[in-house]
This record gives sequence, structure tokens and C-alpha cells, in this order.
Amino acid sequence: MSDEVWMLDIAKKQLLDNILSLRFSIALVLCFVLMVFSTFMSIEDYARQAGDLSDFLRPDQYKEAAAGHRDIPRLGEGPTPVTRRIPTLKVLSRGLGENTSLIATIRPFVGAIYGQKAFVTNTARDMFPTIDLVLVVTVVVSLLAMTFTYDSISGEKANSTLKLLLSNSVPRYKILLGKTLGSYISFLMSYVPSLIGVALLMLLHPKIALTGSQWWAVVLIFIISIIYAKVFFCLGLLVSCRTKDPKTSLLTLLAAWAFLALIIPNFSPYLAAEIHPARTPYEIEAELNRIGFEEAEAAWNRVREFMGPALEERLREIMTSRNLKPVPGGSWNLDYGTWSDGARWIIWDIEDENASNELQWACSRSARTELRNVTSRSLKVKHDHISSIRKQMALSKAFSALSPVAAFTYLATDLANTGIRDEGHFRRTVDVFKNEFVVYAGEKLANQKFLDRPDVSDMPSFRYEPFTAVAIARGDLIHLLLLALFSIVFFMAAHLSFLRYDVR
Amino acid sequence: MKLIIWKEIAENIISYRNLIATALCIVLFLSSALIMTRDYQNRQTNYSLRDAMGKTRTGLRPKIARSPTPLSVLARGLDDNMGRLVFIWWSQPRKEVGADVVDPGQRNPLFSLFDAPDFVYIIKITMSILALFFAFDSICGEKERGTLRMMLASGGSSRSGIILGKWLGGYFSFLICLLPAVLLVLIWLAVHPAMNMKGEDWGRICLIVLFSIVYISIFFLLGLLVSTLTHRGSTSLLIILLLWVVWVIGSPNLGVLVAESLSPIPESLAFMAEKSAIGQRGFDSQMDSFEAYWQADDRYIAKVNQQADLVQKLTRLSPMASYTYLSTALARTGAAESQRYKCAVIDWDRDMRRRADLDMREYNKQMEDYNAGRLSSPPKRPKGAYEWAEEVPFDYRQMTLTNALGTVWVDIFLLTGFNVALLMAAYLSFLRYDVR
Repeated sequence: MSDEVWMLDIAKKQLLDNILSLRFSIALVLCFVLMVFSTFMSIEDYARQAGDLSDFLRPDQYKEAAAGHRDIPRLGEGPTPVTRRIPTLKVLSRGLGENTSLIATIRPFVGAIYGQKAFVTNTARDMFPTIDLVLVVTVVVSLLAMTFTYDSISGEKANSTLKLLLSNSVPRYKILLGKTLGSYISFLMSYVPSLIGVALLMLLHPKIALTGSQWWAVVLIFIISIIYAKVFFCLGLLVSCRTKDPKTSLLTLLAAWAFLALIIPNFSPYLAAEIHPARTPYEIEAELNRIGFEEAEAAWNRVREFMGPALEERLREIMTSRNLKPVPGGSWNLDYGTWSDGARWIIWDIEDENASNELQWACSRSARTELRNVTSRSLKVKHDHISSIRKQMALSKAFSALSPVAAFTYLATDLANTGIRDEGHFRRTVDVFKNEFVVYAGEKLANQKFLDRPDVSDMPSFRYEPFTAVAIARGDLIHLLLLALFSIVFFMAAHLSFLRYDVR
Repeated sequence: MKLIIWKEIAENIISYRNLIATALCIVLFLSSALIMTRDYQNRQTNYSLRDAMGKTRTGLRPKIARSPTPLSVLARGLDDNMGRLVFIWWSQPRKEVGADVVDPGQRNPLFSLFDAPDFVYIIKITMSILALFFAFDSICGEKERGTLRMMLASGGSSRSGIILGKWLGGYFSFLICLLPAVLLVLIWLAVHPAMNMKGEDWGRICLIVLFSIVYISIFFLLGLLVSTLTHRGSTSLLIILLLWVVWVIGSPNLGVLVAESLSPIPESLAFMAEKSAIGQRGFDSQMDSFEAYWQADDRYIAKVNQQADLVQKLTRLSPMASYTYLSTALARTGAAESQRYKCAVIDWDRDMRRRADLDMREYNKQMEDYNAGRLSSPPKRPKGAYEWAEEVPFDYRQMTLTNALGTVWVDIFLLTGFNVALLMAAYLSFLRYDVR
């Protein structure tokens, strides 16, 4: 027999052995039940959420909100909400879950404020990660992949069949290739039906409809999951070539798996934060608020100076009659909110139209200066903080690069538009719009009286386009290469180990 | 039996497996303690800045945040959730239930992608697997080596003596690997200046350690049971791997999905839209409208609690869920504590508004008397809700240890029950084990 025929015979034998084994049935049933069932439940959950939020996530909502502001300062104070659609592929990968931003409220004087999880929620569910395809693949499939190879070589040795196999003239690398081929085909036979089941479910379920790009993303997630499983498959092979009995192989593999899947990804962000600490969120927020407060105070002082003591005394009277406390030694108490509220009351109170108009122009000028100063001073603080967070994230990703689980999680969540890449993209798009809107509100303040109703027909438009599957695959190429590299390195190491394997 | 216990311990202590396990435990627990303590300090710094937050944005609105709990270093649980800064504003009853959560700015989103590697996480995931490693071949391994037949044939040990000896000896040698690491963590917590633990905290820590030992014992017994049902170590390992996946990963997470489907709650934004219809009705006073909004809120909260109850019931099929509920309750970061805290915030807000309303009614009555000449001087201006909030500040008292244990007695019962059931099953299975 030629070497190739030998190799194919070994592959066939391995394939049949595996198909008839307990692990094949376990893998087939477990993958199918967990993946199809969790996807079905996730689709139902997605449909319910999409139905509940359809009114709140309308793409043109920000235009309606801006048109509803009854005067220019309100346009600057907001809120003007911009939104994006719920990522459909969260049914496969929840990613950041409830921390995924769907709504950002633009308040030009303050910035962009992102929606937060409500105060009253079911906290019991926060205790466990919700199961989805990505969790099943990272934990269950990786474990199952290893069970197909942990005894490829050490099992043959324990059964004393390895000696017999090598007594033939077939080279060792062909034996290894034959075993790998047979095991891998049998693994795919147990895993691929689950992927087909998930794809069919998504195709036939009436509550979900995917676009062309989303189907590409699904296909890529499936392919990457196969590459990911291959990493653990090759790791199993390597350990099997380094140990003498299957029990030791499996024990070593489980220890390695626990480290790769459960320890490295979870420790990485904390380790990165330790090495490259960033300022805490409240520190940043407190500094931004201080800037906002100082500028609001300066703006109100400019208006007070223009008003003169008589009007200021009148404002004090108005406030007292409304049961509000003016600030000692001044008039408007900034603790109540914005000075524009006080300006409105006094403007409405002035009977002389010319005097009222002059005060309105003075208020508009002061508000515009405030907006410009707040924006320029805040920008530096935010920029420094975001750079620091990005460095921390890069470091965390570098640490987690040691784990194929982290690489697969980044890839799958990004492809499903529920990961950190998409969150960053949405926030950047919101920032660009916010900057345009600040300039726009500034122009309105320069060209219209304080209490004029703003005409927002020419306002900048906001449109969020998530990354396409191809763009994400290109951007996350490093993770894909890492997965491929893990497979190749483990396989090569297995090959070298087997060449030196003591068959006695 | 004593001989078997000593044999197990002596064999295990000098084994390569124990050495690796001890080193792994020390590295994992110590690095976790180090990282989580640092994280706790950062959260403390963050918390101390809460008053500087939103000075202009919030004005006199009451700002509330629960300070980070020192025991969250061991069991993070819902500490982050309770530590979020919330504001209560005047028209709150018309809007979001309870309070308005404020975005504290940009943070590293990678923290949301993976679980916090605290003490409880390491116990429930890594140590459960490690315990299985220690037990998977206790019986079938002896059979494979041919020593089981000899042990029984010598007449020195009965079957019950062997199984109990294997259990006690094996588990004790596992604890020998685990306890030095736990001891180092406790020393770290005792000497770290930021932790400042009090007497009750140490009691809670001891209970967390005790229930961790009970939880791990379940997996050790599971390994022992499977080893009495199989004849080869590798088969045993494969089966316990499957059981671990289903029991620890599959069951709790699927339980959440099923509960959400069986007992759905509307998204909070959609609920707020529903509430806006209440505003269309005519009310005699603002307080009457608030009471109507609060009734709607109470119905929503009841639905949320119903779903939470269902999640807890379904997930308790897994000992991992029971252990999570138990350890977080002891660390003051559990679901019951969170529910209680939120109820306290809501009740306090309502109380302030009711006090202000009573004041206003009294003021109006006195004003009528004054206008009618029945009072000589005008009444004093009534206090608003915010002024009441300043006078009677929000003061939340955390659950006492007894109350906390009362909320998780089911979990204590379940963890003990799983142990007893698995021990019985292993014992019965070994009585019928074919030693040939």
C-alpha cells in the first residue's frame, strides 16, 4: 500500500472510531440543543425589545426634538436624542449587552450623554452572562474540540496499538495527518449541524430579517468559530503527543483550557488598568462640571452687568414671589439650573420692546461665548481621557492576545455589531454630530434673538451606519491571524513532538 | 477507613498534581485579591467625588450613590449596579421609576465584556473544575490499576469504608492545596490599609469561605460519583466534563433566558410612554397625580420582582447559582440587598414628597385662617421636597447578617442537599460497583 492510502485508511478508521464514540453523540446533541435553543430564545427577546423600543429609536427623532425647542437657548441646552437601531445579530452575540449604547442625548452646553440601564431592573439576571452562540462556542465547543484529540496519540499508546501502527513503513507525519484529518472531519460532523440549525432558524423565524451584510457577518462568525475550535483541536493533539496516557492528556488540557478561557481574558482589563491607570469617570465628570459651572457663572455675570442693578432687583422679586431662593448677594441661583431661565423671566417682564430686544441680544452673545468656551475647555479634558482609555484598552487587548477566547470574542462581537469596535464607532459618530451641532447652535445664537423660535430646517443631519462585515473582518484581521497562528503553532509543535515520541 | 484517609492524603500531598494545584491556587487568589483591591480603591476614589458631580446640571436634586462595599473584593456581585450615581428630580414620578441614573462618563468597555475575576468567580469556575480533577479517578483509577480488588480482598476495608475514606481523604488533600491560598488572601485583606474590615465583616468572610468549601465539595462528590459509575479514568473525565458544562455554564444562563420569556417585562422607555397616559387624567392635586404614577410604578416593580424570582428559582437548579446568591448576599452585593436598597431610595423619595405635601396643605389651611383674620401673623413658608431631603437625608442601613442569611436559606439548604444527595448516590453506586 502507498503512504497516501495508509494515511487515508488511518483517517477513515479515526473517523469511524470517533463517530461511534460517546463524545460524538455528546458533542452533536449538546451543541445542537444549546446553540439552537439559545438562539431561539434570543430572537424572541430581540423581537420583544425591538417592539418596545420602536418609538424611541426612530432615526429622525432628533429633528423632531430640535424642532420642538421653543427658543434658542433650549436648542443649546437640549435634549436632542440621536439613536441607532438595536443590532440584529445580538441574537448570536450579546457582546456589551445592556452597556451597548442605543441612544445618546446631545446637550451642546454639556456634551453627549449616553443612555444608562434603568434604576429598577431585574438584578438577578446581572449575576450570570446570558447564554448566546458566542458563549457556547467559547466554552462548550472549545472543550468538545479537545475531547476529539486528547487521546489521538496517547490513547493509541495506552492501548499498545501505536507500536503496531509504526511497525509499518508509513512515515510518522502521515500517521499524524491521517489522525488529524479523521478526527477533524468527525468533529465537524458533530458541530456543523448546529450551525446549519442556527442559520435555518434565523432564515425561517418570522421575527427576524437579516440584510445581505448581516448574512455575511453570520457566515464569518460561523467560519471563525470553526477556526477557533481548530485551535483547541490542535492543542488537544499537541498535548496528546506530549503525554503517555489519555487521562494525563485530558487533565493537562483542562488546566490549559481553564487558563486560556477563564483566566487570561478576565484578568486582562484589570491588569491593564493597574499598569496604565486612567482617571476615574467621576473625576472627569467633576472637572467637566466645574468648567461648565465657571463658564455659566461668567456668562450670567456678563448678562447681569448688562442688565444693571434695577433689573437684577426686579428678578430677585420675581424669584421670591415664586418661592425660589436667590443667591445671597446676587440674583439668579445657578443651583436651580441654567441662567437662561432667569433671563427669560426678566425678558418677559420688561414692557419696553427695545429694551427687551437689547437684553435678548446681550443674552445671545453671552450664551454664544459660554458655548464656545465650554466646548474648547472640555475638549482637551475629554481628549486626554479618551486617549488614556484607548491606551488601557490596547494594553488589555495585548495581554488577552495570549488567549484564543479573547480573540474570538472580539471578532464575533464586532461582527455582530455588539462589541467595543461598534460602540466606539457609534460614540465617534455622535461626537462628530455633536461638534457640528455645537457650531450650528452657536450660529443660531449669533443670528437670532434669545427668545426667537429656532428654525432648524437646516440643522446638521445624523446618520449612523454600522461597520459592514467586510470592514470589520479587515479591521480585526490581527485577531483572525492570531487564531490561525495558534492553530499552526500547536499543530507544528504536535508534529515535532510526535516525531520524537517514545512509542515503547 | 482511617488508613484509607491517610493513604489518600499521603499519596496526594506528594503528587505532582497537588504541587501544581497549590501553586495555581496561590497565583490565582493572590493576583485576584491584588487586582480587586486596587479596583475597590479606584471605586472608592470615584465615590468620594460624587458630590462634585453635576453641580450645575443637577442643582438641588438629591444625589444618591451607595459606597463600594469592602467585601466586593471577594464577591463583586451587584456592587457596581448599586454604586451608580442616581438623581431624583422634581418630576421624577412622571418619568423613570425611582431615580435617574447618570452616565459617569467614558470608561474602558472591556470591563463589560468579561466577568470580574474575584474570589467567588475563581471558586465557582476554576476551583469547581479543579475539584473534579481530584476526584474523577478515585474509584475507577484504583480499578484500572488493579488495587481496588486487592483492597476489598484483603478484608481490611469494607466498601463503605473505602468510599468514605476516598471522599474524606481526597477532599481533605484538595483543601490542603486551597487553604494556603485562602489564608494568604485573608492576611492580605487584614493588613491592607484600604480594606478596614470590621468584626462582622470577618464573620461574613468566614461564612463565604465555609460555603465555598461546601460548594467545591459538590463537585468533588460529583467526580467521586462518576468514578463509581465508570470503569476508565478517561471516560469518567469526559462525562464529568459534560456534566460540568451543563450544570455550571448551561443551566444558570439558560434559566435567565427562559425566565425572561415566561415572565416578560417591558423596556423602561416603553413603560415611561405608558405612564404618560396617566398624565392625561384630571387630578385634584399634584400629589394625587404622583400617587397614581406610583401605583403604576409599583405594578412595574412587582413584574420586575416576579421575573427576578423566576430567574432565581430556575437558576437554582445549578449549585453555581446557589453559591453565587449565597456568597453575594454575605458580601452585601447580592440581589436581595440591591432590591432592598432600591426600595429604600424609592420609599425615601415618596416620603419627602408626602412630607412636603402635608406641609403645603397645613400652610394652605393656615393661610385661609390668616385671610379670614383667625390668625394674627402669616404662616411660615412650607418646606419643599428638596428641603425635606436636606433635613432628613437618605440613610441606608445594609442588611444585617441574620437578615442576609434569611434571604438565602434556600441556597444553604440546596448546597447541603446536593452534597448529601451526591454522597448517597456515590455510596449506593459503589456498593454495586463491579470491581473485576
